[in-house]
Amino acid sequence: MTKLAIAVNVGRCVGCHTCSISCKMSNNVPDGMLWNRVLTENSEVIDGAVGVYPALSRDYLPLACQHCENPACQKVCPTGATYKDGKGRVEIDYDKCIGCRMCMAACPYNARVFNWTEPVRSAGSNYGEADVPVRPKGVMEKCTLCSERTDRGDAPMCVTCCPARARVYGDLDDPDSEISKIAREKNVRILLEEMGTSPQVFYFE
Amino acid sequence: MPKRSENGLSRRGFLKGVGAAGALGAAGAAAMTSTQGWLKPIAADAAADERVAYTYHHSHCGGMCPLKCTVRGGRLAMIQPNDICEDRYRTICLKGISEIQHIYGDKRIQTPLKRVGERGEGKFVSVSWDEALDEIVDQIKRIQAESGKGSVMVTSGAEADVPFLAPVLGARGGGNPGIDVGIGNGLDPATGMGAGYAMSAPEARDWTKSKLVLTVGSNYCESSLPSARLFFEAKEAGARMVTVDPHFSTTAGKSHEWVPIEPGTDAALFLGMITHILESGLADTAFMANHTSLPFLVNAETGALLKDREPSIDPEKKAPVPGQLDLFYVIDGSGSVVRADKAATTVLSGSAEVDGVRARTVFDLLKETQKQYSVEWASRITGIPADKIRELAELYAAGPSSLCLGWGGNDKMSNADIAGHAAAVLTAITGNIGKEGAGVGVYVGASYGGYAATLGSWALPETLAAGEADVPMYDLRYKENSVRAHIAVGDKLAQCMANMSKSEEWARSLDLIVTADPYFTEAAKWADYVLPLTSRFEYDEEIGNIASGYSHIVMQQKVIDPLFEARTDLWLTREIAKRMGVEDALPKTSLERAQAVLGTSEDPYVSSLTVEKLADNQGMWPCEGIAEVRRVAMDRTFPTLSGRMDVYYESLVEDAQELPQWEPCSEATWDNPDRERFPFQLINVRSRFRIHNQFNDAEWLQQFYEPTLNANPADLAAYGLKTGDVAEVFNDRGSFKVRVSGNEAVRPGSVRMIEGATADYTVEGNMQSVTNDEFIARGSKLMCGPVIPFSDTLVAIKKA
Repeated sequence: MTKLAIAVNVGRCVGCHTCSISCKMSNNVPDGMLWNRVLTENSEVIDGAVGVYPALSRDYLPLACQHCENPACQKVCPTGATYKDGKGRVEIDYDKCIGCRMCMAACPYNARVFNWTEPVRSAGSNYGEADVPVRPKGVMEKCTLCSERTDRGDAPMCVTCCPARARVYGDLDDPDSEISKIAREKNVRILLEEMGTSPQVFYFE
Repeated sequence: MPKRSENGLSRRGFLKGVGAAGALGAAGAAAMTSTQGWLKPIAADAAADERVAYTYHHSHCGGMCPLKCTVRGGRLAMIQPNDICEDRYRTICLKGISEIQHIYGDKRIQTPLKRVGERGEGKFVSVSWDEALDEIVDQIKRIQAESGKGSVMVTSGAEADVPFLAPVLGARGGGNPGIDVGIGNGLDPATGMGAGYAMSAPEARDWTKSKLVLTVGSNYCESSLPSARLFFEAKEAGARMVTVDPHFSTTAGKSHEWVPIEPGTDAALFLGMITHILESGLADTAFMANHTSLPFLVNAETGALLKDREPSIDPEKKAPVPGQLDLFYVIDGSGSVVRADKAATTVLSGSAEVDGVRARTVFDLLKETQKQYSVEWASRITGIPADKIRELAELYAAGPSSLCLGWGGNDKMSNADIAGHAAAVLTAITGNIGKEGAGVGVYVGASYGGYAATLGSWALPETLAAGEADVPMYDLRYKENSVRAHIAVGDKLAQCMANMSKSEEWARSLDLIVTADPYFTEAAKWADYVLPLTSRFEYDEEIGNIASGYSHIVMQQKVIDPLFEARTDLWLTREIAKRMGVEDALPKTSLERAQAVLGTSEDPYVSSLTVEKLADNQGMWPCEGIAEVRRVAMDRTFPTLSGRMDVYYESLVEDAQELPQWEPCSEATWDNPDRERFPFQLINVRSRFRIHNQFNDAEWLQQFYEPTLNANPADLAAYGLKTGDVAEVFNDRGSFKVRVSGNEAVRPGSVRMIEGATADYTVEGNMQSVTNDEFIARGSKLMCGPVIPFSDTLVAIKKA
């Protein structure tokens, strides 16, 4: 079997948002929406710090769909639009999506974004990989693990573009993959483990 | 424009289950329309029309990222790192990717514009290229006939591609830059490297061999994103990463240790470290004796170095020939005064009488001047605990250590040269240069630090030459000069000078201002003619420029046709040359120039490379020898007068700065009486979201950042301000209004803003309205002239 996943080395993440914007480009994500975003943990402001000067710390948390083994979004989808595919990715069949947003409410990671209006693109036209479907108003979207790219054997665009090389992409079912080694050997952080969603995206330092 | 909060980028408890409910975007019921028939891959009607081309991006972050661009239906559709090179050279960041939107943005200048209102009012009408150029050149000819060729000034940023424009007009350039030369002014005379910009460091890949990477006043993990990878490679290789910064910067946050410091006191830290190293016997005696000017004898009365004769001068460069060790005198092991080149052994301490002149060694003078700079003194000035200064000094001296300086911190303060000079002395006494894992200077930017190809150039006839800039641009506002016209490629007015109202006054006084730029900048508002240039992605031929990137020769290919009525820099230069009657001196095509850039190189591997070969290799070609880390001065000879590290600055004896002597900032000090009225130092910093003023208008970056004044929350609260409020920021020079953000990362007593915030992007007014334009007295004696002390600025804030 194949279980595609991403591991993020938060020790290397400099909070630059290149993952976020490269994802936006590659997947033709419209204005005002991001599939992938970099949060400054426990801070009210971007690039803030925790503590009182000068006893400070700062952690960035790049956050997108966690491609859970047990996806909360899938369970609540009334049409089967959200599904777990054969490569371990959580995907949306846009044709089946009726825009009920049950999945959006169910996802504990807030990873899903909805086309409330007709998509607007300040670039003036569509962009990104040619085979990425264009989503209309009324449809849910989120990180697909760059399914079109990863189907071709390319890495997701966020991995290709990360300036700090903080992102590792691979197959968790391949014991020799780098990501499997990281999963085995590193002190790995899973977000909201208590929710029982079993994310395949994980964080390490 | 979506505000940051709508994207939830920093919202506390964004994850459900951790805190409050997350951001959901706009409210309202979604239309439950069927998606049947809506969905189709873009490729369905466009795949046949898809092509890939290669170019490179901006240089001023040190990136020059080589880009692979996908074009679909004539529009830029995707930008990725060029993948022809080794993985480590495949660089890109959010700025490069944002060009997908930015090049089509509404700040693009679409047609030539001619001013119809008052200067600075921003009222223009569209005119044709011919009308604009005919009128501009007529005016240039008239002004030059009346006031001489040098009455026209041509300026361009590093991003512009107009090497022939000033020579074609016989115009003067902008002269000394005033920017990024603060630290270099003090450091570079000692190493003979760096060109005044402190660019004397080896490639940052060398950090993996360092025990300590000490970064002082630089935030390259944010401002130069390709540097981040090199930083982590060193950290993972075991180097201790320590960052000294007033603020908890991105680089500080990623380091093993952040050492907070009072702004503008880097020199005091270095002086304290020097004292501890000298007093504790941690100095590298052999290095000092054999590779520095510390053993040289100085006339104790006049401060002049004893010299055997006048230095030999290179007639071509009109500068002393480097490596004249035989000019100088030292005391040898037997106590005799001998010429430095003849000494078998050299002592560092001692005095002698030479021809009736009492002479002492530089080293003894250093020890004497250092007496006033105890570690406790340095601790009081810098706010760093004395024990921490000792610990840093000991780690640094043990080495090998890299001392990473920058352009974003103390560099922009009036005493920056002293910090650079003190860094030179610190390096010299510990021998942390010319060996693996050691170096000093700016490590920012992979393309600055890597190998540079020796490119050739298109040769102009000798009759076409730019004139001397006798008065630098920033001084035109204050000193008598003949400049009546300013032809600017890129924004110099708002970007490169402090105290905006003085710049505006000067702009009003000129007879002609022309701005050429892809984007309508603040400076464009002050122009009589605004000319639309192409971005990096557009060209009118298949091949544009060829340049030196990160250890590669990189090529600009046409990605898309010029947008709107934009034209290339080279086209503009040719059109002006045509009207000046000198067009035959220029290459007829960009291809012809590209062939000359390669073909006339002195380096055989470059001159044998053809444009076609380069194009076939996705527009990239590795520099020779890049498998090895680029290092400097490995033979421990320096391109200085003595061939050693010349740490004694004879030219500054009158200013008592022959060795680095502490001097506080000129404005942003705590004992400045103005501090009562203007309680905050305003630092201008560089970030991931901008390259100087560029990308202000990039909507894809605006979703993450808008110009904001960052302040410590306690400081904001004291003025009744909280995150999101608008504040007026002001001093006696001027004011502007901007949104504030409370952030503990900001040192109390300072406020922090990303540079280049101009009036179209703030709530009101220009950040440059308040910045300090006063130069230190010794400025004109420094290597690159004075640094503009942008961050040596005090301001007050109040709720607007």
